[in-house]
Amino acid sequence: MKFPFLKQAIPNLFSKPSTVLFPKVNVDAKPNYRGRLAYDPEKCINCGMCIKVCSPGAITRTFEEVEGGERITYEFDMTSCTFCATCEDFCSEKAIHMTQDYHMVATDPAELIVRGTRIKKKVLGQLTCGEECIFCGLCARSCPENAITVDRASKSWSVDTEKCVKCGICISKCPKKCLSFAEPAEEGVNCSDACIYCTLCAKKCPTGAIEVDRAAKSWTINREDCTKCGTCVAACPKKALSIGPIVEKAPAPAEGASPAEAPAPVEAAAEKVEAAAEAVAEKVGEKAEAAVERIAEKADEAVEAPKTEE
Amino acid sequence: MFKKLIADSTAKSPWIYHINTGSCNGCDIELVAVLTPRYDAERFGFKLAGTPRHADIVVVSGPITTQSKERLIRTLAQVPEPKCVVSLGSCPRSCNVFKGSYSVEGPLENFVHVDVSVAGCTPKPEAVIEGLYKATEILKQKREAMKK
Amino acid sequence: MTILKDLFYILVFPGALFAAVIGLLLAGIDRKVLARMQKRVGPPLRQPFYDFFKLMGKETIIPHAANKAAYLAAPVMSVASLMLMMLFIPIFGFSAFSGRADLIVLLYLITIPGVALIIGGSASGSPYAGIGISREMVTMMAYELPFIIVLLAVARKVGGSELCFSMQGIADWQAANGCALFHWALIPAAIAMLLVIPAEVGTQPFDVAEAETEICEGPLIEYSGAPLGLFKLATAIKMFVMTALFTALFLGGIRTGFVALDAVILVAICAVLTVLCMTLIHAVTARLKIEHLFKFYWTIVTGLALISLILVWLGL
Repeated sequence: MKFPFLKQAIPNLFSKPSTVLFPKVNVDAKPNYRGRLAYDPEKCINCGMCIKVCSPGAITRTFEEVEGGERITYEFDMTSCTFCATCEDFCSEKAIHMTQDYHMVATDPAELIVRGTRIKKKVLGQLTCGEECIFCGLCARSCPENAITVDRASKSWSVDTEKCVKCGICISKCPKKCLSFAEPAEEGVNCSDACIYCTLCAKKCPTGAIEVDRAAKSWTINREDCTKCGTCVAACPKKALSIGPIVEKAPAPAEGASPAEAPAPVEAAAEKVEAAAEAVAEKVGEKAEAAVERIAEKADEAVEAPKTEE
Repeated sequence: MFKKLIADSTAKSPWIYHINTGSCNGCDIELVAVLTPRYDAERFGFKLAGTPRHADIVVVSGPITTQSKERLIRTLAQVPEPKCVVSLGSCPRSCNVFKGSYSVEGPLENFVHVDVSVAGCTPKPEAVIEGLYKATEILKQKREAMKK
Repeated sequence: MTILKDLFYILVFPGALFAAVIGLLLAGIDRKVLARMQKRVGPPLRQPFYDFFKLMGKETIIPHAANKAAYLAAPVMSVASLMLMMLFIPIFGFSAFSGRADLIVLLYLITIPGVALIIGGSASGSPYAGIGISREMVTMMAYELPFIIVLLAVARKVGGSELCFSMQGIADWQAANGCALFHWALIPAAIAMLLVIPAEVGTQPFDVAEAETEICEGPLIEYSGAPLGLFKLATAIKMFVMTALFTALFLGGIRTGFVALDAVILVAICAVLTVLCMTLIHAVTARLKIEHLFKFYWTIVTGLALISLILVWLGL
């Protein structure tokens, strides 16, 4: 009969026990411990990546209309979280961080939800004047900043956007109701001519919104899928991508032609329209031709108008 | 005179019965780790009971699966008052990653009122000790409220 | 007056209160020393008292399939017989009730707690309890044989050719001739008795009847509340009774004359014996299976007791 633990049992009686006296002694978790989540709403850009990658679906966001914009609330439910930190890895703004706090004991489960809120303001665009303007000058007289200039004789209306504080007094004074704040120019990802069609942006895009065809030298983006998170901008080796007012990308020049000789985008568009008009004219009769000629004239005006405005 | 003695003793001698209703066993391992020499919950009087009739605190881990729902309800009915139900980990509270599965019935709150929840996947043994300690305080209150 | 004195003996001094308090204290010492042997802090010494009072405050649930009368009577029987035993065991010269055939009475009384456990288990109406009680029966058969032989050996040694079954007589003989343990013929019997004690009390490695994890606590599976509290109290008092019996049989030569001092010495010796024969063996062994337990008791332990009996019978 063997008693293998006798050699340990008797000396243990006379040595100190190896218990860590927990509640009396504070015990910290080790440095990379993934405990309670910490969320910084100020850094969050509301891309929603964390919601897409969360495996137990512990993250929810709610939108609420408030004055001046909308309130976005993110809720991270610790009673559903599996502490994998995938949300932390995928957050491009580093707004999510797993702390070392392991004391998550509660009688009321509402204590175990981490919440963060921010208000996203609606940005007002520039003051614009519509076609009904009779150049009466009432708006210019009522502007507290003297930002509007109206000339009745030459029928011109302009606004100094630096001085305009968007108070809206001119809008209420106008008798023809032709003044308004324009919708802000839509922002999106723009690809410049420096693009070498390396497809890195398409690979990095988390939502798969970018499509690059290396052979056909085309770069297209699905504006609805794009969350403007900026991953592609950071990934582009040629710094060809940027986020700003949307400008459509020009098609790549033909093989052998140098980029400098490529026609300007607007003129290229005008050429395309005329080519299309000819194609249509060949197929349809005279009436169609006339209609097409009218379209072509308007295209010319459109091409000339920006040039005169300069 | 005896009432106070009994109420104090109820908080100092809690016997635990553990039910695993379909968990991955991570939380079960942390619970028995609490009884090892390093964390030693026995200095507070905790002891694993062999049968639900001897238990004061019932610790449940795991999402409630279809197979275990019936047995869970019957086992919980066999525990004498005053009793306290502790949910261990995030599975009993919200079924964690097993949400919506064909064999998962739902969170523990649907079947019995949960007194203390210890969150974490898995919770650290120190967090488990904290949760059990809170459960003993609730047990004492329940004992004082019983048979007034 | 004698009625009051007898009531005092029964209820307070070596009877109910004394036995209960010291029994629970010994159970606490057992748990604490076990914890220290396992290199952990362990529960406070007062833990079994907390356990007992907590159980008194729990709800008693009587299962539907249980026989109510037997279910409730079994723990009471168990505790009562143990408290009664305490009255017959002398505390170094002072014994409450002593007659000519104490050892025979003790032998019958000591089987009652085991039988009460069996009755309680079978009254529970649970199949786990059925397994538990059959194991308990086999355990009882296993340790009763060497126990009887040890008692016979001591009786023969003390009384010569007419066996002395009186505990008071044994105590007096030891006062005159030195502790029975110092007579080398009785040493195997002492070792056998030390090995019988853990099986009587039901601690590991001989707790196969009440195996906690295998059969969900065996006969005690359906007990809750006050009846369970009484069963746990019975286990605790049994620790005290068995170690006190060992002291009275083998170490009875010490005598100071003051009952209080004798009682303190008795408690100290019982504590040492508890640690030696119960805690130490509990800490270093695993649970034995019922076949191995039976074989162990009927070969080794019985062998030791028989050696002692034969030596004593031959006059040594």
